[in-house]
Amino acid sequence: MHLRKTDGVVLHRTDFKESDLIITLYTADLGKVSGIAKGAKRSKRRFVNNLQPFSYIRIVYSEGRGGLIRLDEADMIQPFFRISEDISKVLYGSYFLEMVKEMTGEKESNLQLFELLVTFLSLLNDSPLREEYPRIFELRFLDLLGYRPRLTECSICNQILPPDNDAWFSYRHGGAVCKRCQVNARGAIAISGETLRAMERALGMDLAEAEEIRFTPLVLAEGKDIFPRFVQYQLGKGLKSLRVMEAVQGA
Amino acid sequence: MSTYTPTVEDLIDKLATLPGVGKKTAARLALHILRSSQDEAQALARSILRVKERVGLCQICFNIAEGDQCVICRNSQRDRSVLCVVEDPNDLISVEATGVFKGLYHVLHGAIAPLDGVGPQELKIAELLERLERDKVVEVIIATNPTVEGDATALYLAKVIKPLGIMVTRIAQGVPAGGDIEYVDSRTMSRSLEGRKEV
Repeated sequence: MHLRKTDGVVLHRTDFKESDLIITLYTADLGKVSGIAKGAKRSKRRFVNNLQPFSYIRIVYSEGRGGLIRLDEADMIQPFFRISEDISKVLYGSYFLEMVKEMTGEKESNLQLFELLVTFLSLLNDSPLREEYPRIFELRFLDLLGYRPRLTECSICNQILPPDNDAWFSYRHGGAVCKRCQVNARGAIAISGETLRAMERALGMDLAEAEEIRFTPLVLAEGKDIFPRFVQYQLGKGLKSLRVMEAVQGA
Repeated sequence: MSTYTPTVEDLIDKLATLPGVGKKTAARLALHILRSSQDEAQALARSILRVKERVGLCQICFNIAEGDQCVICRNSQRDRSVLCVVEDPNDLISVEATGVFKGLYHVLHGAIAPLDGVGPQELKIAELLERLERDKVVEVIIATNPTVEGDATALYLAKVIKPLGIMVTRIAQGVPAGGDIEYVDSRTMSRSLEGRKEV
C-alpha cells in the first residue's frame, strides 16, 4: 500500500459506522477529495481532534475503494480555532466551506482556489469579522470556477456600462445588463453603479488587500442581496449554511 | 447463496441495522436467539415492543421518559434554579454519572450545524427559552460538545439567553484527567492554557 501526503482544509465531516468518519477535504494538489478515517472517533493518537471543519491539515493517505481515499494520519498545520469563538465567523466560514464542497468537482485541483480558501479562513481566524469578506470570497470563487459576473459591460448587448449609471443584475445572463436590455432580462434586479464598481475592484485587487478594503453601506446591502443568490443560481440549489445563517441572524 | 433459512436471514438483516453490529455479530446474535428458549425469545421481543410503546420524551426537558416527565424532572429534591443544557440524552447520562450536578437538564437533540442545515429551529431551543421565561432559573450551564457545532450552539444560546438576565456558563475544556499532554491537540491545549487555575 503506497502512502502519500497532501495538505488540505476539512470541508465536512460525517459519522460512518460506530467509530469511523468520512472526511471531505479541499487539498492543494488533488482538489476536492473524500476519504475514510478508520477509527477516527476513538483514535487519540492518529487524528487527535484534527478532523473538524476549518482545520488545515497534512494527511497521510492511500488510495481506497469506491473513489474514497483512506486517511492514515492527520497533522495540524493551522486549526483556525478562533473561528469557532464567534458565531458569525462560524456561519461565514461554513458558507465558504459549503460553496467549495458543493461547487467543485472531485479531484479537480485548483491551487488558486485552495489559496483563496486558506486566505479567507485566515482572515476570519485572525482579524475582526468584516461584512466585505463573504462578498469578496463569492466573487473571487465564482471567477476561479469560470462564473465571473460581467460588471463593466452589458451581459446581453456587450455595450460598456456608463461608469456612474445604475444598472440591473440578471442571474440568468450572468451579470449586469443595461437600461435598454433590462426589458429582455426578466427577474433582473436593480444594482447601483457604485456596487458594480466596488465588485469589479474586489475582483481585480491583490488578495493581500482583502483585509483593507471597505464598502459603503449601500454596496454591502446590495451585495448581500444579490451575490449569495447568484451563487445559488449558478449551483442550481440552495445552500444549507445560508438558510442557517438567516435563522441565526434573525434571532 | 445463503446458508441460513430465509427467516433466520431476515433476523440477521434486522439485527445488522443496529449500531455497532456487523453481519457476523448479527449472525451470532441470531443463532443465540434461535438456541434460547421460547420464553426468553418472547421476553426479548416484548421488551423491544414495550420500549417503543411506553418510552418517549419528557415534556419538560426532552430527556428519555416513561410518562410525561422523566425521573429527574419528577424529583422534588433537584435544584430547579440551575439548568444544564446538553446535546443528547447520552450526554445527560455522562453528566449525571458524576453525581456532582444537582440541578435540572434540557436536551437539545443535536447542535447547530450550518454545513448540515441544522439551525436553531431544528433543535429544542424555543422550548428552552419558554422554560426560562416560565421558571425561576438563575444559571444555565451549557454542556455542548467542544466541536465547531457545539461551540456555535453555545454562542447562540448565550446570545439569546443573556438578555433574559440569566447567568450563562459553559463547562471547562482542557486536558482530560489521566490524559497524556503529548497527544493533546493544539486547540485543546490553548483552551487549557486560557482556562488555567491558580493552585
